[in-house]
Amino acid sequence: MLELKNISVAYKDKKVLDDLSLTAKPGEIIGVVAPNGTGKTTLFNVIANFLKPGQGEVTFLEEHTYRSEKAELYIRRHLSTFPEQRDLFDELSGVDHLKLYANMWSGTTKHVQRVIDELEMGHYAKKKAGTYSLGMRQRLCFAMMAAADTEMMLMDEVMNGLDMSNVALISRKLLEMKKEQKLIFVASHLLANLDLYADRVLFLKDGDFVHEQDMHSEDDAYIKISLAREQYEELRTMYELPAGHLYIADHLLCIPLAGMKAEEQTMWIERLLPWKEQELTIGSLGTVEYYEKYYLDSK
Amino acid sequence: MYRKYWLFEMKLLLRQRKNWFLGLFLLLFFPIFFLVESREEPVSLESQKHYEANMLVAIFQQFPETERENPEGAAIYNNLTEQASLVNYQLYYLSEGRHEDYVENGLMLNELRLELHEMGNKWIPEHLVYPREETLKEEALLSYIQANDLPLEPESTGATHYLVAGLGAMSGVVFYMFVLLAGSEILVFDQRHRTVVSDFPISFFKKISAKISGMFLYIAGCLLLGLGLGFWVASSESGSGNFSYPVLLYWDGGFEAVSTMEYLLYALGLMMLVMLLGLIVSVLLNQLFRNAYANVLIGLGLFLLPDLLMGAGVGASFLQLIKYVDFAGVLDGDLAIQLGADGLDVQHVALWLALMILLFALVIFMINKLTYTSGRKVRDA
Repeated sequence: MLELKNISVAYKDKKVLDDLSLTAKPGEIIGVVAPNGTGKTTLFNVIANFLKPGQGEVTFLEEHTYRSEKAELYIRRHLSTFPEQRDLFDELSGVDHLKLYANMWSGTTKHVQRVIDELEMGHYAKKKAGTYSLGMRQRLCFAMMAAADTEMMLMDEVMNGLDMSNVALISRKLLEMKKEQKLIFVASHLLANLDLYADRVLFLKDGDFVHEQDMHSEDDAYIKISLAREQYEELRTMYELPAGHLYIADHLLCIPLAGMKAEEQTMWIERLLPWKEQELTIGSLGTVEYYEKYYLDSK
Repeated sequence: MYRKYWLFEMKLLLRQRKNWFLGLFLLLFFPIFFLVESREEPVSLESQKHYEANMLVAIFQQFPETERENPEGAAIYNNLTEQASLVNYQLYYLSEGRHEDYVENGLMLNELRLELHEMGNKWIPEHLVYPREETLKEEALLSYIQANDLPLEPESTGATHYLVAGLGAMSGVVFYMFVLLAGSEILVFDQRHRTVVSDFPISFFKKISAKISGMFLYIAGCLLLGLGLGFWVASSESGSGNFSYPVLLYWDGGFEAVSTMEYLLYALGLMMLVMLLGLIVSVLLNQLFRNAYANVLIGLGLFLLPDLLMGAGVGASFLQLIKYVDFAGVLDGDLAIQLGADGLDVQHVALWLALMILLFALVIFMINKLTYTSGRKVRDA
């Protein structure tokens, strides 16, 4: 449905995206993770053609590219981008905003009330956006995407300023959208939250994806324990740690279970038990751990 | 979708306080103009004729006795004597209410004045020469009244007169500035809401046509309502006047009298073109400078530039085109006289305004095309 081929973007000497490629299909939620200023928004701007890449091409539905304004309009009819809450029209109501997006993409406003109900906005949707709190504005921005109901959606910082109940509400709605075969890109700093609904999480670093975390694959399991640097060093002097072990961001030791016999796994658990005041878990690495691995370790 | 986008633009336009104030200005301009103007004592035909009679007395006093003996001097003197007689008769007819006779005498008087111009106004001090343009204007007016069998209105005080005068007061830099102010944020406003509006599946040209047509209709609507309100206030105070009464129109190098209604239609037609021009200039300036203040300042600079250049001795006649926004000056012939261009009448100006609109639209199209292909997109519209 969407293909990015060898995309490069540079601002003066700084390469923000460097020969980046990606393929995405309908019914996928793709999380894009990176610290601020490392190219997430640039990537979204390239996909939405708000920014022309220095090199590479974006292709929709296998044949449509941004070669002319006419071609762009075709793509725009299938693609919407997440509005920033500071750009909302304070003098218009939430319903006005929703009707605008519904009319622009769906050509009808019949589903607007359903969106309002689903996102529990009934008590404020008719008031002017200028009176909304940060969380209400953010929910309205998400509701506008739902009202547009396009096949592809780019959601940058979708969970910003939301409390836990609203994060859960929007996560549920994202899962519903996925069932409707939407292709959704989500950039979010709520990393653990991405694990709930994303099919893939892409880690962007130095202009390219350094890791793709597939949420459906049977990832290798690890014994995970939080250890301070001194504790980790002490453990290393006591035992030879298995090859492939990870010590992430100076606080998390991950020992891979892949290839170990049951006795060996038990042995390692027993060896770690003296540090039992720390939490010890067994499981695959989550988005948070990968994030720490790729971004905090390098610091 | 275009219709829905247009309705959204209208909704935004109507919610902006700046537009409320601009609308209020148009609504109140004509009633306030009437209230100010109605305090001024109108110049009656009678006092005008007294003035002309006094001018003739002054000419007689300064006419050299010796020249009355030669044939040329005698002819001029006789002409002046006949003029004086006709003016005095006009005063008499006015006092008696014999308006048809007044008009007939007026036409004869104008013939004599033109004859005098042909004779070169010899031995008449320059400041006492009755101007040729004024003679032609009066001739056109009186002929129209006679041909259409209209009653003579000795004083111009009806509401229709105030409408014509009000439009004249608004003409030129006032109306042009007003349109520039109205259009100052025509694209810039979207810049403040970029992520909400920038990815609508609608072309750049459809967007700007929705913005221009929305603002155009808003200004035109407020203008017509303001004219209606002004007419209502003026007519309730001084009568409605007469829409068939003649008003002078500069046409094809001369003056023609047309009905007030026809004049108002010409004026409104030119105003609509000026509005379109102002709005399309605003789109271009917004596109280039992305700043509302720059729109007004540069737009005003364009209007003043020809005068500044002329003052500096630089001839840039093509820049004079921007002066065509003074629609009342065009209709009255003042602009033709000021710029020394006989052909500068309503048809000429309407054609050039339309051509300028098309030219600016083409420039906007080219800039959008170039920025699209060069990779720097115009995202604010």
